[in-house]
Amino acid sequence: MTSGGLPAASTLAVAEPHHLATADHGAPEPLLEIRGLSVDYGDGQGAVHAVDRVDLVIRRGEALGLAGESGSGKSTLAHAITRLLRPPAHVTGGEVLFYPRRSGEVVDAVDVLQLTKAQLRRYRWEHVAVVFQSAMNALNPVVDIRSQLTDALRAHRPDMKKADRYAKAEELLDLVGVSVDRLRSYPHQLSGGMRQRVMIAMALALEPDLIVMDEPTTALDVVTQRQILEKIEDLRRELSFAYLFITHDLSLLLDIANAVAIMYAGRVVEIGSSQRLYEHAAHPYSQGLLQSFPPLSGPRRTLSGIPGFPPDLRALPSGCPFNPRCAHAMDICRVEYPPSTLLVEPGSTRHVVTCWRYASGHSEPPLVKADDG
Amino acid sequence: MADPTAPIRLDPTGTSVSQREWQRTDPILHVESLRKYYPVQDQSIRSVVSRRRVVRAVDDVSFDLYAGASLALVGESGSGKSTVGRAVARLERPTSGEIVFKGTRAGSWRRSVLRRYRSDVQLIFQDPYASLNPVHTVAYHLERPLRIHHLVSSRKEARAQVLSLLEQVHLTPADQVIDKLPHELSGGQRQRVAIARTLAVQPSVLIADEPVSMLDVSVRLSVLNLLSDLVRKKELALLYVTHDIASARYFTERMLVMYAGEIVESGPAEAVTQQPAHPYTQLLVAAAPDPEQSLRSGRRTVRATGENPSLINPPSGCRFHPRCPHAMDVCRRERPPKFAVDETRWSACWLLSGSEAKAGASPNAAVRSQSASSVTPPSALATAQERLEEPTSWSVAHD
Ligand SMILES: Nc1ncnc2c1ncn2[C@@H]1O[C@H](COP(=O)(O)OP(=O)(O)OP(=O)(O)O)[C@@H](O)[C@H]1O
Ligand SMILES: Nc1ncnc2c1ncn2[C@@H]1O[C@H](COP(=O)(O)OP(=O)(O)O)[C@@H](O)[C@H]1O
Ligand code: SF4
Ligand code: SF4
Ligand SMILES: [Mg+2]
Ligand SMILES: [Mg+2]
Repeated sequence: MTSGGLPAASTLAVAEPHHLATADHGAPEPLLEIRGLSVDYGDGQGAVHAVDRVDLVIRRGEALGLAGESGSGKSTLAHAITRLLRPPAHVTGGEVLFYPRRSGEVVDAVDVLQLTKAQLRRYRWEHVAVVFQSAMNALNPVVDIRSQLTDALRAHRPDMKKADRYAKAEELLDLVGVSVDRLRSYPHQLSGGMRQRVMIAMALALEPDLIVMDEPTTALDVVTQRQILEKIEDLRRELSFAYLFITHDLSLLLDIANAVAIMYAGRVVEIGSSQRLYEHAAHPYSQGLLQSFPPLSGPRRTLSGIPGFPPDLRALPSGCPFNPRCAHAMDICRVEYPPSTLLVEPGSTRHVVTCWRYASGHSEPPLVKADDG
Repeated sequence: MADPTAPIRLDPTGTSVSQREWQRTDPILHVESLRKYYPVQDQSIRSVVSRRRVVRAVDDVSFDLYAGASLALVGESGSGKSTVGRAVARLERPTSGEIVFKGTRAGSWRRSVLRRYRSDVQLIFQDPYASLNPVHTVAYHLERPLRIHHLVSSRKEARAQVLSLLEQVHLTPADQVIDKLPHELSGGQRQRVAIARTLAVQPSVLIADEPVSMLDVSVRLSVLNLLSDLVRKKELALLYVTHDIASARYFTERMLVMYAGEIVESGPAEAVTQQPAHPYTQLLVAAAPDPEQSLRSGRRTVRATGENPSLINPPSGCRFHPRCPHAMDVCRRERPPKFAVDETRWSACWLLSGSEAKAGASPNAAVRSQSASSVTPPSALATAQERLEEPTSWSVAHD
């Protein structure tokens, strides 16, 4: 149990979760704080540093997006914070602090990475739930939807009566917009969109504080995807859970999340509100990503994209791993990993970028830094 | 006739493509009333008489492809886009319909003609991982079609050709790429090899089925740029099959919107995405991620309802009617014909049967409901509609 040196957890009300108000007024409570987390696949020379010294805070009640190219470490991070890593993956450093709240008060943070098996069972369902991409594989093909929905309740709420569990299952299905006459259906009888909704219903069963969703809608078409995302957003406002939404589709994240973190080669390189990132992305990689997808509306602009290819995580370039693809690379970029800089974001103190361009004394900072004014 | 004063639009590569230009020339490929039905097993054990049932994957689809121009085919998953692609590439035999390629009708094709057609009309697949054989080098993949089609006479010539193909798809230095195995290439590089392979046989039509959806966001753009460069430089006709309507806006001139096996709207890509006329297109545009819209003018809620339609028992009349907020009686009874939205666009929706076309409808604005009684198009529109429905290349089709 780590609590030394933690920022004083505020018990102030959660900031209005609407996207424009991702503001930090009143410092929203952290819910999960990832500190210096590193995860490798394998050991020694051949080790893949899939997650590398990541710092990231998920706040209570927020919709946080995590974007990055394939192989940037998003899923590995999701597995690490839910303790679902399987060998050869292993945590090589850092901590994942979870701030539980009892009767409205935040109590001592717990380090998720130190939880015992029994504690972990509770953590995983009651506090943190997961929705992964392949809902078909995640659902048990030979068990009907109602049993799958009530399984978690049976395990975690042993006092609950059977009739109440069934009623709860109906309520959950209704909540995610699947007709209750599907309760006795088997997964294969449902469409991909319905299965994904059932997965979300299961995640909601024990009213968790955080739902981690890894590419939950990637396999669905845009209309179904929109239906599900709107449902999740309605539920978040109603039940005030937070979610971490992982996808490679940055345009989708900017569309739905309050704040977005950008990952590159195992590192979080920038975080800021959706609005801020869309209008003033600071990291050259984030800027490149924004220049990579054609906008559906608004004026047609020339898209510059990102030159080159994602790096091999076993043989990362020294210094900033983005330097071979970066138009702004300086000498120092090839030598030393850049420090993180806090940039001024109106109404928020969250815009953080990890790039030498913004480190004092290295280059004219293109954006105002927090300590400058 | 297209408006001669119509502004010249710029495609992302900077070429100017005016509406007039592509309407003046004859299409390279004309597809008329294409249908593809797949037989299905009747699931119900109780039916004593085994009924023949079919999935109407593609039902009466017509379009033209022009040299040096791209056409997008967009729609939700299961709408039949890939089936159109496969049927047009003649990987599958259409159930009915006409394909007229450079003036020759498909019905009369001998095997040799079909073989020639299959090299003229090339398909690029979604999955660059599955489309290359893992045990063979890049050189092997590109030399094979050259040899099969007798396009080279010596190994030396083959190698030179392969190097040139790799350069055309910007896989440079080509002499370093040529001997690599697929697993040594990234997804984007593999897709370039797949594109180079289709170019080997000097096709005039490319059908690209979700060519970038399996690639990383950061490399999608370069592959799409490559395709659109090739369209321009090699005067290829491109059918770009995708569910990504935003990329279709950027990389194609014209767009077809498909729903439940049918084309529901057709027109210039910019107009279709910016002022969609058909309620389904409006839904598609509204549902697509669009930070420009949501971060500048506030987030929108789409509240889409309904499920993908059955293609075995498609809804009567307009297939979109169970999900359409504007559905009227006539929509349930009769299949809407193509109504002109303006001179370059049509939409198969009864809402347009009334007086003026709703060309100015914004993606989210509801197209005004018309009373079900006024289904006869006014004469001016009727002429436009007849013109649109007239098979433009019938005249050039000869056996
Ligand atoms: N079982 C494994 N063994 C070895 N390396 C692995 C394993 N699983 C993942 N990796 C590597 O870890 C890195 C990060 O993988 P991860 O799946 O977390 O990325 P991601 O951002 O989720 O990518 P995607 O968008 O493709 O899912 C990649 O380089 C990947 O190749
Ligand atoms: N070989 C086949 N047998 C039966 N049904 C098929 C076959 N191929 C496609 N279909 C059906 O045709 C419809 C359209 O499929 P497809 O062309 O793959 O759509 P899209 O590419 O838009 O996803 C779907 O309902 C699909 O299930
Ligand atoms: S640290 Fe240097 S190389 Fe890395 S993104 Fe910033 S400017 Fe580019
Ligand atoms: S024809 Fe009727 S049901 Fe179909 S899209 Fe138009 S208004 Fe809707
Ligand atoms: Mg992943
Ligand atoms: Mg398809």
